Amino acid sequence: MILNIIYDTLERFDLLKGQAHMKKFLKFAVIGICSLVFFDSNCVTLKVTCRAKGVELKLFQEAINQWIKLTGDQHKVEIVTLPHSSNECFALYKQWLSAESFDVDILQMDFPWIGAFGDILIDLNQFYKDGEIDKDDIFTTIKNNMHFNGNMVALPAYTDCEVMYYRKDLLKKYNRSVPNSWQELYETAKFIQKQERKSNNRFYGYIFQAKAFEMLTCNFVQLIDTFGGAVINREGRAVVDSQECVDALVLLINCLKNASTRSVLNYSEEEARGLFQSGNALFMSSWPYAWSLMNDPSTSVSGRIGVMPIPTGNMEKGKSSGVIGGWFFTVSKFSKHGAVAADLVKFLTSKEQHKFRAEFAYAPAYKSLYKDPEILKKNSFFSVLSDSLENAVARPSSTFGKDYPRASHEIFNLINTALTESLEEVSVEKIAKKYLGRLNRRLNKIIDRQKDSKKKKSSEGIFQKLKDILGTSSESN
Amino acid sequence: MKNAVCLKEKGMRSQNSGKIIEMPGGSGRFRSEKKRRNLINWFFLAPCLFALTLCAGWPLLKTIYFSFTDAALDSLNNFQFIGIDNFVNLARDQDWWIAVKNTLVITVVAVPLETIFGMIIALILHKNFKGRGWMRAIVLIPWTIPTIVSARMWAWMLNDVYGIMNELLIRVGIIDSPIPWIADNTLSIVSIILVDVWKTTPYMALLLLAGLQSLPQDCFEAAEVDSIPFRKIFMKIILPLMKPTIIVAMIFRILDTFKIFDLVYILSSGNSATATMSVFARKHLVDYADVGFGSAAATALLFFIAFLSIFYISFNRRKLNKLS
Repeated sequence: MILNIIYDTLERFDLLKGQAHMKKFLKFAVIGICSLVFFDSNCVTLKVTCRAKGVELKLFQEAINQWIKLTGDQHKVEIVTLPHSSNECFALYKQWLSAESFDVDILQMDFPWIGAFGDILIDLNQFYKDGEIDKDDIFTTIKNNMHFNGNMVALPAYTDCEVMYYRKDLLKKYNRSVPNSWQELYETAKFIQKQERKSNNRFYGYIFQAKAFEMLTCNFVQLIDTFGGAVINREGRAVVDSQECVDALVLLINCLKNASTRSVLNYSEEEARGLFQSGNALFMSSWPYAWSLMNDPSTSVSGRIGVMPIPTGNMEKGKSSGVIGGWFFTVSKFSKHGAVAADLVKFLTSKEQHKFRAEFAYAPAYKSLYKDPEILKKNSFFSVLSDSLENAVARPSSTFGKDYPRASHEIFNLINTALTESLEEVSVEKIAKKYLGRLNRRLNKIIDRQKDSKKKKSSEGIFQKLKDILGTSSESN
Repeated sequence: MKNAVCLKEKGMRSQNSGKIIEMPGGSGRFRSEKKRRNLINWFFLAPCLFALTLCAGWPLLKTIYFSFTDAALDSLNNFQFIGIDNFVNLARDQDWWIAVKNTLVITVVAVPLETIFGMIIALILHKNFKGRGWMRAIVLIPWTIPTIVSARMWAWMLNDVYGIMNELLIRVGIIDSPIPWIADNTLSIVSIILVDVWKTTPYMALLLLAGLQSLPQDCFEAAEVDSIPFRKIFMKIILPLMKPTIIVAMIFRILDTFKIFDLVYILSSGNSATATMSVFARKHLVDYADVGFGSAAATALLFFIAFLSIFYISFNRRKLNKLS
């Protein structure tokens, strides 16, 4: 059609009279230009967000380069690095969303965000043929989190599950066994801290991350799970003031007071790892990423570290568990190259890529990989991790959805305050009850408000429809 | 502005040449001349005013506007007016009043300390000694480092396990076990104040030094002739003469400290017991995506600052009136 128009114009001006070869040349030229344009539109530049913690960025960069080669060097990928703290990443995404110029195609998302951002993500199911993805091989908690309103909106990049690190040599030195329960852990930590203090006045029994940020929410959710408690019950109400939760917090406070340092109150993952790595701690609960870093031959504790699942708090009601984390890749609805982006996501989250990253201790989301002898040889602790992942507990992000950050803020804020205040208070139980009660009220308030606003929204929707039907302007404000 | 003044003078000169110079307090002609000059002033001010309305006025009005709505960060085009609900909730919010208290504590403690240390440094730098130029430059270093960088730096130095501060104090023998400078709520505030004082003392010193150097020298010479002790010179000459400078400098610092954010963000564990007003506002605006409530907190902060500024301006006016 374009050719015809060009011929018409040229003929009108008598330019093509009797010049058949010219006509032919023109035809080729136009086809050439068109195909060039077509080829150009095929070459897209994707923007991908990625965190830069540990070797993560390097691994994904390498994987992306592989994908570019596989697709015949057609596409370009630009990596946008994310802030260190996941709370800040979340805020950043929110800001991008509110500014309507949203030109990032692939978003790396933390475990609890899928509920908050679900409605701006595309359904990735459409890009998969039947049986192309082995969903049954993915851990249940992760699989549940991949979906939003029945759509598969996210695919796991790697998973995370907190584990307990301990010093093998020190347990041996004091002839103690690996603890099975929190109480045992507390006793052992207290005892060995006391003994070690004789030669090292900066030795601590158990360290954890209690800075008021997301990780403290993780630690809390996991701790109450091991005691048999929960944040939300089946009816969707907050139940953090239950006796199990009080017991859990009392234990944590006791650990803090007698077997730890009060500076954990300002520790995130890396500060804690720094302390453990310098040989000044017996136990540390943290994510698996720390394993390979602490086992580097240059560290003073290399080869002397053991890993176990987070212990049980209550033998009857609780279980040995761990809080599940991990990051996902999603494709934004605002992306202009959804299909190409989905293809990259498909590649990055394939089983082969999970295996590649597993060599660097990034835990795969596929169960079968935990039986792979090659991986187990490199990361012996993956066998522990697989148990933890089977029993893993998720943060209550599906209940709170968009309000999850607020709920999480309430949790880490009040738990941090409770821990801080407990240092001056004698009655541990009183503090635990006071703050858990307050937390429960606040969480229920968020839940109630959410229900109210949902009701309001649905009634607003009816109004909107009525207005549209009546033909009045639907714009308010 | 300088250009404007020059141009004005030029304009006047060309007008004056060949005309009778009019005396003040005279005819209507003069009034129109004044009007014309006023117009020229506005003309030269216009670009600046335009830029200010665009980059300061508009966001400000928008924030105040949002504070009466229930807007959320991810749906900024779809919100309702809810009257003063946000402000009512703010007044009921325990955490807000803790934030107000923290801000006030930091301001009330840090600003006088900065003024005192700044004054001492200014007095030393005012004396003539070898290498004074170098000293002036060196003293300014803390002020030139971006706050976020110095906050991070101090966070490492104050760390209880591998921080240098505890190490030093233990080696010297002042303490025997490390102090968790930035993990404890009270100590966090103390650390924030310390770092703020460290950072802004040079700024104070600079402002006060400028004031010192503009003082009339004859008083000092007379005092020297009468061999009056320095303490008396300071109390009877320097302080009264420096009063306006000190007040201006302190007001600057008070307004700045009210907005304190980066130091608190880095040097505290992030719970609401150590938050300041701007940290509180940011938490609601960005973390909770609650633009309405966050804007209300920001507006309240604005009113605190506006109140102080108005107080300062009226105070200054009274002072000027007294002088004239």
